Amino acid sequence: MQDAYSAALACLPGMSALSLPGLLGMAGGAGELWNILERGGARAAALVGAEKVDEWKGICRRTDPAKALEDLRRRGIRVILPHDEGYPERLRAIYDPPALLFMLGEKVPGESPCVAVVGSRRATAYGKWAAETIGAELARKGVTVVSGAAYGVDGHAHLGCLKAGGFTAAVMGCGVDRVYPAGHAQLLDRIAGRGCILSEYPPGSDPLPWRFPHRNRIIAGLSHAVVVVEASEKSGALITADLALDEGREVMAVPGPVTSTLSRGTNALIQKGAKLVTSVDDICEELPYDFAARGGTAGEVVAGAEFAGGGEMSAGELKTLELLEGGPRSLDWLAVRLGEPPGEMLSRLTAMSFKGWVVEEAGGRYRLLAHPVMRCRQD
Amino acid sequence: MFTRLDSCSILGMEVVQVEVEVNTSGSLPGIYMVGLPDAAVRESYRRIKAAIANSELPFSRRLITINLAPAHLRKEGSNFDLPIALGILAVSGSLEPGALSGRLAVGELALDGKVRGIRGAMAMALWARRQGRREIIIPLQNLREAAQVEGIKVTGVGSLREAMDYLEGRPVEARPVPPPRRDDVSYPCLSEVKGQLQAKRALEIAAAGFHNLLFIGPPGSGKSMLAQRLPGVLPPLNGDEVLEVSSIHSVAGLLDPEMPLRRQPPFRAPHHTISNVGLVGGGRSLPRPGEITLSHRGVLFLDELPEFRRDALEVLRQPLETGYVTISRSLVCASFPARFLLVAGMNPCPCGFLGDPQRSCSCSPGRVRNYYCRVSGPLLDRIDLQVEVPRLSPQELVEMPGGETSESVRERVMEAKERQGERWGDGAETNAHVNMKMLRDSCRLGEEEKRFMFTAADRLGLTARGFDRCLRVARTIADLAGRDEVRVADLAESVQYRSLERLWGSTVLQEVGYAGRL
Repeated sequence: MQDAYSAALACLPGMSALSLPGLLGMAGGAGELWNILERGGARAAALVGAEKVDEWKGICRRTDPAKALEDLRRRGIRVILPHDEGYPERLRAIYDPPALLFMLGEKVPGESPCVAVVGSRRATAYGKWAAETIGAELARKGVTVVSGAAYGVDGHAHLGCLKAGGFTAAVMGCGVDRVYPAGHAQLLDRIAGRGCILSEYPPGSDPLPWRFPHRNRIIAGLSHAVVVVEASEKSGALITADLALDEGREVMAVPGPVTSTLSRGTNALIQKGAKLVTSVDDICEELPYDFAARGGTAGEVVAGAEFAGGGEMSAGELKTLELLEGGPRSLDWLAVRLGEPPGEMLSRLTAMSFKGWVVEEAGGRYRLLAHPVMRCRQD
Repeated sequence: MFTRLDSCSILGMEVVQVEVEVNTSGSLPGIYMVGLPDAAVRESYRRIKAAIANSELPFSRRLITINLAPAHLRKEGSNFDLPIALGILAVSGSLEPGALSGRLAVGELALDGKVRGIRGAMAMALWARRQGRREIIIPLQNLREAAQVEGIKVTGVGSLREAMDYLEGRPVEARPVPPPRRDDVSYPCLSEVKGQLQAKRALEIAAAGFHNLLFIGPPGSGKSMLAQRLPGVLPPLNGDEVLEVSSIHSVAGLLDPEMPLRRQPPFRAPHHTISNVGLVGGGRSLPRPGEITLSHRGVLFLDELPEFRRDALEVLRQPLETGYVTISRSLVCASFPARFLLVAGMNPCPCGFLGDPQRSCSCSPGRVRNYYCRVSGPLLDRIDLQVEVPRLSPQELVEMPGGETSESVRERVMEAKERQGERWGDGAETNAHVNMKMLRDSCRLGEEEKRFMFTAADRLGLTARGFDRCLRVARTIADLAGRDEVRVADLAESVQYRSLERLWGSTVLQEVGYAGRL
């Protein structure tokens, strides 16, 4: 019955998710708090303030907590309390753990290693690629990817993990049944199907701006480590990194070009001592798990990461790749140096992007993603 | 007394015959005008009266009835002045009635008896020739324009007196048709734009296959410069097209009387505040051609595409597909030709700096999405080429060569056009507009090409329509290269012209290939 009372309390209009744990502590439990509110009067007023007492008293008398919980269950939403088995241990350890979590999906992240991959909503093609790659490779190692389902880095981290068949958790700043951001409707469906969507806010809550920094503490709390992929100086991802540091979690960052405004935040993190991530192994080293003992997933799954177009490479492609090593370049720049007509260059760049070597960014520039020759030498 | 002569009037792009009948009866002086004349036509008898008086000619003192037949058609404009005046003179006895029979005359009168120029003289001369007429009498001002039509005698008259002298066979001052000035409208050269190779390549493809084109780039990157150079790359108009385009401009009253033949494809760039009637044509009573008709066989440039009123853009859809627009109003229904090449320009995001290496974009993803939503999908579906035009840094501007001139590009375009003419038969069809089945048959895709297109459709999320658009562009690329069959390289290049889908993808979730390893 505790979960029914907790869920019903969290669903009270105007109930703050932040003050709920305190109220529960003072009342001595969810059932007790519910009874106090239902009775109203001075005791309830002392707890929640005079202006809410009457309104909540009415609602408490009309509502049957057990039935409300059953309604949630029918919609596929589960309620997880701190003393439940499913409630992640790490989250319970943070300074202000949520009083309960609403969940859509199969199971909670649990005891498998968790890594949060966060970053800017306005990610560049590089950031998206990095997020997707990290998501996919973490999934192959059996690591759960936690993020916020926002546009940009978050979405791509989830997507990479899903594509590699991994388990991913999205922590929302609104109700778990809300589709936010709207463009991620399909992605959220996939996460709910193969992973889980979590929120401390009751179903139907609006995505209000102040909810996102609070939600970030859950992302940090769920994870062993936080990887910031791309962040400008004022990015919300840096809040997540700060919160993770406060809780003693590992903070890492993917470096970026010094010219990119979207890499200033991550580069600054590295300067301050965050671990620099150049491969997914850099992340796994910091996790308190012995990957070699977990079936040796580390080496073999990632080896031979597939190139869609096969390994053949023409002389022109090689030259193009060499030119792109200095950073993203426009077609004009490439064509002047190679002395070739633009038609030929364009068709070659298409072929190269299908092979996964280059990607075209907004602004008409081409960026080198992976150098096939260098890879061969390393492997 | 009764007399009759022919005149004509413009209805949409068509010319309709109007018979002017003048009859005198009774004994009290007066004038009745019947046959649905509008205000300008009703007023004309005052002009005519003054013009006849100032030409020192007698005016009938009996009741004059003027009928403009067919009576059900609304008559507009001032081009019936001259035929009505001639009819009144004939019934007044100043002109022998036999001189008028079977004549065709149009013109506006000034109060002093001079004849003023009218709109659409060239279209009228073309119509008269089609009708098998041997002669048309028009205002002297329009002589140069109408004289471009061969196979019909065009007589220009400067005044009412001159018209009378001519009709009665008296010697008229010789007026040789002045030779038209050479059409020296020349569009700026492509080599003046530095760099922007992909955009220039897109211009070449657009000109060769008549594909619609969208430039996406930050302010100051040269979108307008590039668009202005497109008509210079298009092949010059052939004989029939010159007359067609010139007569459209003649009807709109935009023809330069000194330079009546437009041999260069027109270029129109309306401002984004344009109304939908201004864009497609229309009007209160009698429809006039809009910008899409004025850019027939030429280029219509819409800069700042998302700023255009949405309803104005939506009306473009049907003409883009069919090549003409039909304006139906309660009284009339008119068809205008509108086979134009649409070139649109837009910024990559509301602030204009998305993807700019130097300045960062200040737009939220939602705002960018809203910006793209302002241009509807069905319209974008009809734009085959979408190209990003990046802003060049000062260093790049110095470094980049100008590249080819418009002339050398135009030569390749004309060759490609010839190949299309041979393939599609009558030469009027282009790769962008030919029937999709015929296009597919002509491409003769091999196994390798088909496999490539499946990969592309998968990787880029091409829709069926996007797939077809790519095929059309690839067909033109092969034509430019002088090949009969479409190869993988052509297809690979064609998928590069889907920039908008990529930019759109950068605001919503798009799957980037993660084949590489971090």
